[in-house]
Amino acid sequence: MVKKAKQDLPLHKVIMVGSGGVGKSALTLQYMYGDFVEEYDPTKADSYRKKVSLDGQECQIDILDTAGQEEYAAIRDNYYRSGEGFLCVFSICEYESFVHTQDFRDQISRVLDDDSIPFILVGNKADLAKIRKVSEEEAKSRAREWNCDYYETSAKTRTNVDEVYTELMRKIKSRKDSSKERENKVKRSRCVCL
Amino acid sequence: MAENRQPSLDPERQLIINSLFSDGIEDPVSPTHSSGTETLITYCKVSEDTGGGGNSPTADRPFGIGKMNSRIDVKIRYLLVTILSKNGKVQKVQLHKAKKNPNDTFSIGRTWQLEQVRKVESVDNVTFVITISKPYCWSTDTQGEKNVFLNQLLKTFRKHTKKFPKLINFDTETLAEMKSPSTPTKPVIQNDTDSYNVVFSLQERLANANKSSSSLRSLNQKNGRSTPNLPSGAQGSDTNSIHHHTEDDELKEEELSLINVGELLNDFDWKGSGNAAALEERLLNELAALEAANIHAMVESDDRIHSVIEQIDNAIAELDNMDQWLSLYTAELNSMGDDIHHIESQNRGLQVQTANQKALLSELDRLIQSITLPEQVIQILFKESMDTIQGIQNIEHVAAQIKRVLETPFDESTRQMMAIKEKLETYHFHCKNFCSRFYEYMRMMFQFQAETLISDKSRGPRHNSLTIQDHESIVENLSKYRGLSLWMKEMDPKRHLEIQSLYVISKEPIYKKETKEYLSQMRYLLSKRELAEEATYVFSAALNQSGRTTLTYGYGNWLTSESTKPPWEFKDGGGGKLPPEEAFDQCLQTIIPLVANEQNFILDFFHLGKKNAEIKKEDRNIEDIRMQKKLIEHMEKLFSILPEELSSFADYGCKHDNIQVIGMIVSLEKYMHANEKIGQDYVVTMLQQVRLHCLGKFEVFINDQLKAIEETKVTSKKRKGIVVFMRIFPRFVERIEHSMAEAEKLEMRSIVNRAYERIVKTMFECVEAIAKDADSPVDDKEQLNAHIMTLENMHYFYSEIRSRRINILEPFMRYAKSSYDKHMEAYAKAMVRRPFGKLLEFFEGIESLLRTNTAPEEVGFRIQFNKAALKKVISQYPGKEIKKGLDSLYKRVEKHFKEEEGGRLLQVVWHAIEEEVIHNHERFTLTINRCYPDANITLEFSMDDLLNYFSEIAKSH
Repeated sequence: MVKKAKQDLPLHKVIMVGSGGVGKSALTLQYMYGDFVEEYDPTKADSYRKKVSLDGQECQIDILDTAGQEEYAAIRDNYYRSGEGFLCVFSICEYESFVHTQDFRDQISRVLDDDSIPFILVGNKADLAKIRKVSEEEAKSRAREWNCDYYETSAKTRTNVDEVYTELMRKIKSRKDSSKERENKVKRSRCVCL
Repeated sequence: MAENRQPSLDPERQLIINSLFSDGIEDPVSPTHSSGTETLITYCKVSEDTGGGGNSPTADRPFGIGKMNSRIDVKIRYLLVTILSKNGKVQKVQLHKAKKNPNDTFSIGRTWQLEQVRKVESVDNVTFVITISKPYCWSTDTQGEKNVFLNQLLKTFRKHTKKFPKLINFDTETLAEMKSPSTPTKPVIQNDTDSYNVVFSLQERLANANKSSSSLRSLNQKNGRSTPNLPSGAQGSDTNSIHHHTEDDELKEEELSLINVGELLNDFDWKGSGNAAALEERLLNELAALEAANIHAMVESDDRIHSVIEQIDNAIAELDNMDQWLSLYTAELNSMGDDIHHIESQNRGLQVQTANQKALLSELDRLIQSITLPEQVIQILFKESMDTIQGIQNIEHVAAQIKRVLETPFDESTRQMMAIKEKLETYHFHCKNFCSRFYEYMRMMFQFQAETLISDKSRGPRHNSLTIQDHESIVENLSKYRGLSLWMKEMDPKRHLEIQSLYVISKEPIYKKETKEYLSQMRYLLSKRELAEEATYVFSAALNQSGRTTLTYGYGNWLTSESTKPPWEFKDGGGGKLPPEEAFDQCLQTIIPLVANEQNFILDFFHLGKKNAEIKKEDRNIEDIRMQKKLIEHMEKLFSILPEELSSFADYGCKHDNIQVIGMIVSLEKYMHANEKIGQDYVVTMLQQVRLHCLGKFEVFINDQLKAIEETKVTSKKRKGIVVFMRIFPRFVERIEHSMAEAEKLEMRSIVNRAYERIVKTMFECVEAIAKDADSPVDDKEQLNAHIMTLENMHYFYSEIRSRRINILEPFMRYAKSSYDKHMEAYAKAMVRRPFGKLLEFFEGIESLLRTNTAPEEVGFRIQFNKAALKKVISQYPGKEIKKGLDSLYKRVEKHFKEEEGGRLLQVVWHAIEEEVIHNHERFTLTINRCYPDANITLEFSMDDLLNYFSEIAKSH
């Protein structure tokens, strides 16, 4: 894997998490293709990849769009392992989906054993603010608690869609860059090991 | 009174009596005999107005007019009042209207009863109106006559009728008299009868006297004319006294006069009415009447009348004579008038003739004048220089004159005139000569222009600005002859055609040379690309190459920094070099205006129809079509090499990069479209020719791609990973769409869409064929590989094409998606077999048994499915074993998928397997509960165990 990464453009792996029906796929499709699909078709799991320019540097984003309606949360562990950054999505019109973000956060922390993983809390369906059930303050206070950013997006109007993905990629990139030096030190010994 | 006068003195009265009442006894005094006698009481000669006067009452008729009219249409009539008596008894009183016949007899026209008279109106001195059934207007000759008659009439009324007419315009005296006829009746009756008797006797005597006097009188009358021995006073004076004096003896005379006086007085009713004034008036009237009668008699008897009449007759004869003379003169004058009229008209005729002849003469003069051109004209035609604008204008001027003369619309007879015929022939001759001269001149001109252009060193393609310079100089030099060209076209069409051909022949080499040079220079401008580069988006190139290197490209190979450039960018982009499709477009951009300008020039210079196809195609007439054909013919000759040159340029441009042809076709269609609108027919035809050539190339290109794709199927040994053509396709589409940028409305769009469809279909077929690979044995491993490959390829296609949003490919995208889902499921199922093999077999056996209508409880009674068997199977799969199995399963999946696409599908596929495993666990548990409800047997691994295993696997990788 390490070898392959050398040849490739930098690849940032983003994982979409959140309850069913909050708009993970809608956000992904909007970001990927500029589509907005009105009808709801529960996702199994899909992977998307796109070449993008991040702050003037070409790179690739790999988005794993996961199923929100999973009977057994445990089988998501597998996804989380491969994730470098997470968009934790809830719908501002559905309080329960906000509650569940805690579960996802916990599961990710548990699987990765890492609290500093790039993570953004996303309140989707901002275009439906009229029937909002989750106040911005409440969401923001939870984000502070988790020490992460909070964005409100609309997959329908493409509000903040590019912004959340870009911001997440930036976080992933800076985290990678800072870990590189450490890695370089370890590298020699690892090579020997191999 | 009148009664007394009339019988004795009035000859007319006698005539009336003779002619009308002679059958009865005239003597009213002897009433004894005759059954009924009619006695004339009084009469009156009146003139009757017949001019419609009968109906209208007097008020309607002013008297002035009445009188004047009466002079014209009056009839002389006699009104007679008679008494019809029988045996001395009065029967009726009648009023007759009689006419005097020429033989002095009378005939009665009408008769009324006196009682019928309703109204009597005195109108003026002589006129009165009696209304009987209608008003009758009569006039007497004198006032006296009228008065006498009316008095008599009224008297008769009073005497004999009970009814009294209405009286109008009578003096009061009369009226009073009339109104009171009966008041004194009773006392007077006695008197009356007395006096009546007296009167009767008197009348009897008077009648006798009358008889004698009338005989005497008639005797007198016989001699009267020749010897009027009677004293005029005796005849003229109507006084009774005088009369009686001359006729009767003294005694009788005395007696009579007494009687007469009595009677007279009686008549005047002097006793009855005490009004002396009225009586006087009446007497005066009576006197006037008598005087009038007297004068009348005097005049009648005057001899001089005759001589006067004679003189008048003479005068009339003289006048007649004069009249005859006058009419003779009139006739003479009339005939002279006719003569003069005749002479005048002849004179006019002569004048017209003279004028006509003058006009004819001037007309002929004008005619000759109009077709005669001064000698100078001919001189100009032959000598004037055609080099200067002034000269050309002069020539055009005289040429127009000649043309006008030659085209003068003479009618056939005029044309036959010798003078005209000769003139026209001469001019025709001159025209022909001039045509020849012009032809020769143009020939030299064309040659000169062409040579000048060719030898012009400043022309020709140069590197800094590669173009063909226009032929403005030729256009400029020639356009001054445009007028003469039109002249010639009309005067000598054949020669004109020859000039056209000359022009074409002299210009064709220039175009040939210039386009060739230009196109060959353009070739140097074409940028070249490395073949390797083409391979990133063209199947045939890539697949040919792949024969030499590796068949499938690792993911990394494809996204090298170089190949991430858009496929239409060139390595040596910039530096003035151009990709062939752009160069081709530039060529068209340079050449088409040249061709269009040339067509416009020919059209204009040779007058071959209208510019820019102002006429719609269907509106063109034969002449337009003929000229259009001619024009196209010239253009084809002029640019004969153009289609070929362009085609070969296209070929050259595509030599290393066939896909360029698409952009070229788009350019061609674009220019065709634009030129069609502005009537550049030749340009369109020419471009169409090149387009067909390019379409042929495109077809070959697509066929090559299809062939290359299909060949992959044969050469592909390693059935794994994303097939090279699947990788190429998105870039292929991207590359083509780049060329199609302006083609949304062109025909090329649908051509390209059809090509996409063909390619995608072939690709899918090939992917599936490679995956199955019919000739290798179908074992588990092969099957798995097929699934892996198909789902990878389909997923790749789906996501790549989706991101490029090409509508035409939507259906294929959906197909790819469903194919991916299908193979994913199949793969997951197949993979799960390894760690759960026997368990799966066992439970699938039960499931198939259940499907054959076996009750769940009966399953346990089958040997192979009894509890022992179940236990045995379950015991073979303890949790530890499962964990191990799952670990190795993950490793296999990772191996399968980590290579392609940076392992992007690994998580997805593993997730599908996890779900499948969980699903199987649920399935097994359910079956155990159904078929072995009381056996109290469970799988040796729980769901939680499974989830833990998964988490562990996730953490460890």
